[in-house]
Amino acid sequence: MSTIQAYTDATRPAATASNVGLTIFNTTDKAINVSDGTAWREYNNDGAAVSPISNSYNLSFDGNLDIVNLGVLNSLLDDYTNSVSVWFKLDSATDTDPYHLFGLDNASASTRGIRVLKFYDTGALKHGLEFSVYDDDSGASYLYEQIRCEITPDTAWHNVVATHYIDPSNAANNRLKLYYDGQELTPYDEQAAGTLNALAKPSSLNYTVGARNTTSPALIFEGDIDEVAFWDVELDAANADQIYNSLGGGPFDLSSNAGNYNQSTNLKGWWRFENNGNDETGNSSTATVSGASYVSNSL
Amino acid sequence: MFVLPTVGLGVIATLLDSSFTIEDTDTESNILSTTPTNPTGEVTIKFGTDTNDLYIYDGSGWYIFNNNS
Repeated sequence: MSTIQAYTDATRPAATASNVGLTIFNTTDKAINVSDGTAWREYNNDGAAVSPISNSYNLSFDGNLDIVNLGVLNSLLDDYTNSVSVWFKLDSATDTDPYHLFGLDNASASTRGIRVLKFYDTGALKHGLEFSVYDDDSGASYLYEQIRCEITPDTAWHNVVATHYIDPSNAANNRLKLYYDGQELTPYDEQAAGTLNALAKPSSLNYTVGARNTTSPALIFEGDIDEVAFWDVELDAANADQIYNSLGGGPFDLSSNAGNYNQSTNLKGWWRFENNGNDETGNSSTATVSGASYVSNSL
Repeated sequence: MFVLPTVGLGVIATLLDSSFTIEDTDTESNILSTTPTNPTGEVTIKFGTDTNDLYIYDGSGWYIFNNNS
């Protein structure tokens, strides 16, 4: 049996010239540490082996006005800090149409709230993910802050986690992040924060999945979506990584802490689309599915 | 008079071979189905032959270190 020595941050020996290459397991942060002779280099784990949850169905969107209405989530969202997770699978790796994954049910993309978009940036000639926070208490379109990150699209299942922290007193402290398959993406384009006019959450609008605007769907997704969830906190990198890294690459039970995932108590909405639109958190935000079909799960 | 130093077997092994080799390799499912008994102060490390990932068992669960190549 192969073993390596285990230490905590407090008990590990000093990294010195006499132990260059010494490899240990740091039980404080569950990381591999290697001495470079002067300091410990850390190699973080990519998640614990968390058992997957039974997953029989996902939603299939055929591009024909399919949309899922999650309802008004205002009372469940935090004023300034929230996170969203969506599993999705594109029908086409080359389609350049913009796809609404999660966000507001409005026609103009204005007013308050957050939105996650898969899009093709014709200006930069990139496929990407866009994460935006809108803030408008006047009725006019107002994009408060936004990041865009490049991805290489394919037709496999992927997980995107979007997190935002907004400091109403100092925008310099704001954080918008996108994680793709557990890894934080580096934005190639950022719109800096504007003036915060109101809370970064909508007052009365529905949130939707797969398209925006329930009366006239637009940005219509083509592919499969499953396991949509949001939290009223900013998930950190370890949580985002764990969400993607359950055993077998599929979803696990977000209502229980496991491995590096420790935000189950802050889970405010979780739609598994297991042949129904139930919100598994008990917050009763039952989704209304229009057009999209429940299909045998491929995630 | 030359006196042979007395050291533990582990130290001799270190002196003879400073390389580190993961001797336990198996598929991910086989690795994760095991619950090794770790020696005091140590953790078990294995290599996944089907995933090329590293797996460390700390006594409570397996932690995965993904292959990035």
